This record gives sequence, structure tokens and C-alpha cells, in this order.
Amino acid sequence: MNTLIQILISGLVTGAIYGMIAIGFTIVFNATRIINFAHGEFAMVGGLIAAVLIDHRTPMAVALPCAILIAVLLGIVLERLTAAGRSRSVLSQAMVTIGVGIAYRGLASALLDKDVHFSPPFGLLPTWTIGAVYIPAQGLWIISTLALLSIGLWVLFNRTLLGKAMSAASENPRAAELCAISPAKMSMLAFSLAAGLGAVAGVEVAPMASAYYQNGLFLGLKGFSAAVLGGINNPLGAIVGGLILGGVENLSAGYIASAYKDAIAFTLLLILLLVWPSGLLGRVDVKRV
Amino acid sequence: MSLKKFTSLAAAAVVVMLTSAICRGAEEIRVGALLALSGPAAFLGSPEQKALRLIVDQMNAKGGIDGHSIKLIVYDTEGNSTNAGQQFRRLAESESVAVIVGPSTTGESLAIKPIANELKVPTITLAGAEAVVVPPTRYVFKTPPTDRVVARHMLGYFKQHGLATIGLLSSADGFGQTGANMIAELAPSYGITINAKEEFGPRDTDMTAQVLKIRDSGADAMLIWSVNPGPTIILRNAKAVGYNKPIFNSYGGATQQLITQAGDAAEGTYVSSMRLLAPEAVPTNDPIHDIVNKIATDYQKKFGEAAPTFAAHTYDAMLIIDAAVKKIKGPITRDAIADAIPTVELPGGNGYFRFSATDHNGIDESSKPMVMMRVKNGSWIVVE
Amino acid sequence: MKRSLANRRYLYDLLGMLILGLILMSLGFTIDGTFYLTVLIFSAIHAIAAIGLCLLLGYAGQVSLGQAAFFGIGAYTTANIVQKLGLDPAIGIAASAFLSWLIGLLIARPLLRLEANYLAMATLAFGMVAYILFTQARYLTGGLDPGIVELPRFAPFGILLTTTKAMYWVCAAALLLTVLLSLNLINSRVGRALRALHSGEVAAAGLGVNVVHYKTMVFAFAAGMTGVAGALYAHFIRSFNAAAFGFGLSIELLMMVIVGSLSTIWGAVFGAAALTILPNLLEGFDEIKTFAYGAVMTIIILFMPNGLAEGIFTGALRGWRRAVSQ
Repeated sequence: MNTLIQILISGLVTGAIYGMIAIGFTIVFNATRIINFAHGEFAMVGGLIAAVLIDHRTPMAVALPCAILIAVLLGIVLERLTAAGRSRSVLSQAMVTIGVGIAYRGLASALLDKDVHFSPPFGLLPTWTIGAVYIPAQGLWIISTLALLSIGLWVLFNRTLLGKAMSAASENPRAAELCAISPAKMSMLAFSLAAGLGAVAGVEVAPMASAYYQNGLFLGLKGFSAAVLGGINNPLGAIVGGLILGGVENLSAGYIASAYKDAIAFTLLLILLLVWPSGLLGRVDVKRV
Repeated sequence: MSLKKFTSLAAAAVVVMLTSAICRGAEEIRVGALLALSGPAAFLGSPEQKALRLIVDQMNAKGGIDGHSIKLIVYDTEGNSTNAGQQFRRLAESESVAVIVGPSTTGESLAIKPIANELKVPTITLAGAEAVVVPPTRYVFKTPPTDRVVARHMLGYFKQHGLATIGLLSSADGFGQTGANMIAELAPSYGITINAKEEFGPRDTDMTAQVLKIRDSGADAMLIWSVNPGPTIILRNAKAVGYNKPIFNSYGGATQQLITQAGDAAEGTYVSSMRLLAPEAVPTNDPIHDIVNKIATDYQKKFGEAAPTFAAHTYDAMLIIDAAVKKIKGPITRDAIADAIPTVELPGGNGYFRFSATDHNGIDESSKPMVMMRVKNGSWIVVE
Repeated sequence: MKRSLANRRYLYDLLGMLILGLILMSLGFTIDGTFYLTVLIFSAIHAIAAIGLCLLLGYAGQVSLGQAAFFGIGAYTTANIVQKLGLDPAIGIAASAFLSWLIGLLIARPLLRLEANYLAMATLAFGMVAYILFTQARYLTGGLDPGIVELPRFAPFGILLTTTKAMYWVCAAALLLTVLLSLNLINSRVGRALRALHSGEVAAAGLGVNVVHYKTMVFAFAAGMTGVAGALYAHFIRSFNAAAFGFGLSIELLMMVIVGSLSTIWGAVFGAAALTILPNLLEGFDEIKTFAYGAVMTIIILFMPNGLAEGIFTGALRGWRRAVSQ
């Protein structure tokens, strides 16, 4: 029984990481209809810059905001580049994100380094041990951050004008413009927000699972899967998707076969998509002929 | 310009050309290198490149090999066999290299093996698998000890210390699968049973589930076969759930980094490593004592960090090329080098090499390439 | 009126095929270095797979992020047939084509009902599951270690091909054949139906076009062609493992199509060649090679929206016009 609870907790922490990254995907998609293939690199950049700065004796309180800020700047650059491709298809813009993602990875490996970094854990929060089950302190940070983010985002998108403006701009840019909402500004905001959130995820994961210039692809893939699972146009769905993905993976590893845990998760995702084509919590805007 | 000026310029040019020709002395030896400098195998290629450049610079500072300066050309294969194949041909045809060092991984080495024999370029690969040199082909060699030797060292230690059942935890990449397969294949002959065989993704963030599975299987010990960050995360997970059986690492965990990164979670963990991890522990009467210490010291001095054990792969390759070239009596051609290498015997960072026509690896257990170490009070000590 | 338009397009396509054939022949007769030949061979192999994806993406409007799976299925099928069953590689390649086509057909039906983004995810998931199966099914694939080791030298129909040049001819011929088949598809009823549904699925359905049927056909066809490409890859490289068939390959193929041209298969061929040759050109850049690759990609996509081929062509045309007018 203890084993089961421990595995579920691991699933919760892993899922929280995936969820935090998934949110970035949905925010950008919500505002621009673009699938941002470079999103994982924001997480990588955030974690890596923070780790390298801390290695060079920068205090954590300075290194973390620095890393997040740089990621946000990179997000703005990416947004400007996709905007240049706005006249073409959404697919072209998505391809731009692939190209820029590769470029960011190249920059990170050239300007920073190619080592595996484990930054020091944040501390402050304790490691909870209930009986024989434990929640790592860093895991607690990740879960709490996710909870706070969820609340914040829900408020943003459902209660503030800004959030509604972002959704409006993606659904119908022309109409939004008529309402004095600038799709370009919304797009910029979405990318910056997504980049910042991705960087936060990266920074929080680095003490637990390392910051490494090749992490971006993996984190991006998991985040994207979680986002689709929960419904790619629903930021809260992203969190649900992440938690489910993390849970399925860990349960498969613990009780079925660890070699196939990812295969099982992906197969479940496939089956789910066939039954719920818009993801678990997504809005149904699919027109089937 | 005036005739006088022209003549003096021409004379100067002739002098410059003559001097440079004389100073160049004998022809340079062009060495090509195919290393995985980026991509999933960069943990191999990066130290391999550093060590290679280190020894080439050292050799050139002393006038090169037998007076021939060494021209090194390095290509990044990204750990990709398709790239390795293309770049091999480029080195052989466009760059006209005399000998090639690399590639870094087994997969790539197997892919270029037929090309090396087709284009007749002597190649010293850095792969772990036997299949690269068994059966031996005229142009292909390798420096690292084979995976079989590595696995046998591990299993021998288990048997000796009464550990009859193990839980295997390997990464789902080439490195991890190689080790896991080799251990699984050889374990029965040592009377050892594998209670649990678990895998994890090389970029995964948490392996608690697998650790618990191994714990619940009742195995006497855990064997981790992966490179960082895998072992660090696993050691931490194991400590957190209170896993109390001995934990062993493959040479993928044979780094100082494991200790600095895993912190006190690394205390008490074992590693089966090549000698380069603990140069001071090599007995002074061991023929490889001096060379191992030289590599460790020089690498630390030049790069400011301890030499990962993979660094020895390329260092040894250059030592072998050096020895082979010195044995050549006529012109230094690809065939001459290929036929000279099987006659080489020398101490290297990986062990004592004794090449022959049938042995293109040169290391077997008699050179004692592996040693068992354990973390005690935050540093590696030899326990064998 | 309509007939002559269709005929004109068909004529242009045949002309294109002739030109491609001439280019391939002249390259074959002039180039002898095995390095350059190897680059051309890989370009041709990638082009065959890229053409399949181009039909899927450009003509049927379906995104697939999992083509590497079919590439791998093709490679392993022929490897097993030649190594384990000892049969002729020609049979192996035929089997690769058939099996990939069949699997493509089977998964197409349920998947193609999904909307674009979810289809992308579904094909991505399929590709990942295939990759994991490749790494685990050791009996069939050798896993990641050692993978498939030393396939015998390529001897289709019993004729032993010993040189790289011979392999080049085989791949060039395969490419031309693929182009021919694709052109026939495009200019046939199926192709017209595809173009109709690409411009408007609802309208097409209203006109009686069986949308699902045609999408499925194209998906399966693309899968089959990618399988053939994988089989040729296996026979050329002779030793390989699952690492070659990961997500990276799927993305690479997608980029070849986007960079080359979405709307014509000539673009796909050009894109495949460009993206196979590009990393070799960037070799000297060392540390910033990855950055340079990403930057070049981005620039091409931004400034040549109709693909590299058209971009270069238009640029050259503009330059020529400017030169002439001065």
C-alpha cells in the first residue's frame, strides 16, 4: 500500500512538472493558434541559465529571476519571428518555432555549456514524511507553484478583461481588432507569459532532475502531450493532462513494465483522442464531415 | 615596379618558400576524428575530443610523431550513424587522412566498419561492443575494454561477495541497453539471478517507481547502468525511500560529478570503473601506473576538471598511432599503419594493450582494466 | 477547356520528370567520390519519404509527425527478410512497401477523423510508440544494442552490387519511379479529389467526394513510400539501430517538405536534397553548428514561404531581370 501511495506521489510531482510546461503550450495556442515547438527550450534555458549562474556563485534570489527574464526575452524574439510569418499559414508559423527552437538550443550549447547541472534545491520547505511515504521538498515546491499558477491563470482568463481579450484575439482576430484588441499585442503577451512559465518550470525541475541543454525536446514533448490530453485550448486542462500523464507513467513503471511506460502513456493518449477528439477538457470546435 | 625591387621580392619569396619547406620537414600526418560532440552521446564525445586535442598538442610540441607534425581534423557526428558514414567518407576522400579515430558509439562504429574496409582507412574506434572487432578486419581496431570484460568484472565481484540476486536499472539508450543485455546474458554463468529488470528514459525526472519495484523484488543489490543524470536521480530516490541494500554503478557513473551532485545520497555506492577514476590507487609496479597518472594530471591541469574515464579512449588511440608509425620503415601509408597496429604493445589509460592479428582490441582481463570503487566520506576509494 | 488545363499540368510534370532524370544521370556520370555519392544517395532516400509526406501534407492537408515509424518499419522488415529468412532483397523491399502501406491503412481510418492539431499529436504518439517498440523488440530489431548488424551486401534479384555508384543508380531509379507514381496519383481522379478536399472539405463532401476514403488512401500511400525509403536506407547503411527512427527523423522529413515546397513534389525533392546537404556545409562551424542550422531554417521559412526551390528560382529570376534591364 505504501508503495502505491509513493508511486502516486511521484506521479503527482512528475505530472506537476509536465502540467507546468503544458500550460505554456495552451496559452500560446489559445492566443495565436500556433503550436509552439520551441516551448520546451524555454524550460531548458530557464533551468540552464539559473544553474550556470549559481555555479558562478550568483545568489539564487538573483539567478532565478535573471533566468526567467532572459527566457521571456527569448519568447518575445520568437513571437516577433512568428509574426513575420503571420501572413502565411499557421503551419508555417509552427515551423518557424521549430527552427527557432533549434537555434536556441544551439545558442545554449555554444554560449553556456554541455554539462549536466544539478542546481541546489530551493530549501525552505521541508521534506514531508508520513509513515513510510515521503514527498521531496523540491516536489512540494513544484506542486505548490502549480497550484498557485492554476489559480492565477483561472482568474486571468475568466475574470479579467485581459484574459478574455487574449481568447477573443485567437478566435476571431478581425472582430477582436474591431473591439480595440490588438492581436499582435495579445500574441506578444501570450508568448512572454508562456516563456516565463516555461522558465519557472525549468528552474524548479533543475534541482531534482538536472538542467541540460538537451532537456528541451523531452520536456516539450511531454508538455505537448499533456496539453493535448487535457484539451489544447484549455490552460486548466493542461494541468489535468499533466497530472494524468505523470500518474499513468509512474503507475505503468511500478506495476506493468518500466520499459514500456512511455509507450503505455502514448497509447492511452491515442485511445483517448479517438474517444474525445478535443482532449478531456477541450472545447469541441471540430467540424466532422 | 623597378627591376631591383622585383628581384629582391622574388628572392625573398624563394627564401620564404625554401625555409618553410625545410621547416615543414617531413610531411604531416593527417588524423581524422569522428566524435559525438553533440546529441545523446555527447557525454562520450566531449571528453574524448578534449583528451585527443590535449595529446595531439603535446605530441606536436615535441615535433610530432617521428618528426611528422600531426594535423587533426575533427567532425561532430552527433552520435548519428548516418552522419558518421558520410563524414567518414569525407575524411577519407576529401581530407585524405591517413588514419581515423572514432566514432564514439557502438552503433556508429558498426556502421562505418564496412566503409573503413572498403576505403581501406585504418580506424581506431571508441566503441564498447565486441562486434566491432570480432571477427577482426584489417582496418578496424578499438581501444575501450569490451562490454563483456566490463560486465564480467561486475558479476565476478557480486559472486565473490555472495550477492546472488540483483535488480537491474538501466537507461533506455544505447549505453544502458548494452550493459543490461550483457549482464543478463552472463549472469547465469555466475549463478546470479536477476530479480527485476527495469528501465527509465535518459531524460526522465524521477525513478522512484522503479526503485520501489527493485526493493520489493527482494534483490540483494541494485545495479544502475546509465550515465548522468540518471544515477544521481536514482541515488537520491533510493535514499529518500530508505533503500538499504548496496547500490552498484557501471562505469557510466564513474565520475567525480556523481559525488558532488548526489551529495550524501552517493555515500556507500559502488562503481566498477576504468582506472582513470582513481589514478593514485593504481599500484606503482603496475605497468599502466605512469600513463594513467599522466593522463589524469595533464587533463586536470588543462581543463580544470577531473578526467572522465572516456578521455582515455582517444588518448590511447593516439599513443597507439604514435607507436605504429614509429614501427613503419617505408613511406607512411594507410596500409602501412593498418598493418603496424597489430604489432603494437604498450601501456595505456585503458589498460595494457597487446594487439595481434587476431586481437584488434588488445585489452583483456589480464591487463586488469577495471577496478571496483566505493564512495567513502565523499570520495572514491578502491575496495577490490 | 478543362481538359487542356489538366493536360498542360501533366505535360509540365512530365517535363519536370525528364529534367530530374537528366540531372540524376549527369550527376551519376560525373561524380565519382564516394562521399558526394553518399550524400546524393541519402538525399534520394529522404526525397522518397519527403514526397510521400508532401502528398499527405500539401495535397491532402494532413499533418503527420510520425513518418519515422514507417521508415523504421520498412528498414526492419527488409532486414529481417534478408537476414533471418535469407531471401532476395528485392522481396525485402517489396515486403517493406506492403507492410508499411498496410499499417498506414490500418491506423489512418481512426486517426484521420481528428482535427489538424490532434492529428499531429496522434501521429506523434504513434511515432513514439513505434520507436519504443523498435528499442524493445530485440528479436526483430536488435534493440538499441546492437541493432541490425551487417546486412549482407545489396544483391537485388541476385545481382551483387559492390560499389557506391551502383547503389546511387538504384536509389536514383527508385526516386524517379516514386515521382512517376506520385504524378500519376496527382493527375488522376484521386488527385483531383484531393485538391478538391484540400480547398474545402465541406464543399468537397457536398460534391460527393468520399473524404475519408481519399485521405486514407493518401496516408497509406505515403506510409508505403516511406517504408521503401527505409528499406533502401537499411540496405545502404547495412548496420543500424532504432536511434535512426526517432522523433528527430519525423521532424526532419517535415522540414524538408516545408522548406522545399508544400505544393509541388519537386519542392519536396529539392528540400530533401537541401536539408541533407546543409549539415555537411555547416561542418566548419563547430560550436555554433546547431545554431546556424536553426537560423538557416528559420530564414528559409520566413523569406521563402513557397519553399526553397521557388525562393531560389524567384530570386534568380529577379536578379536576371534586374541585370537585363540595366
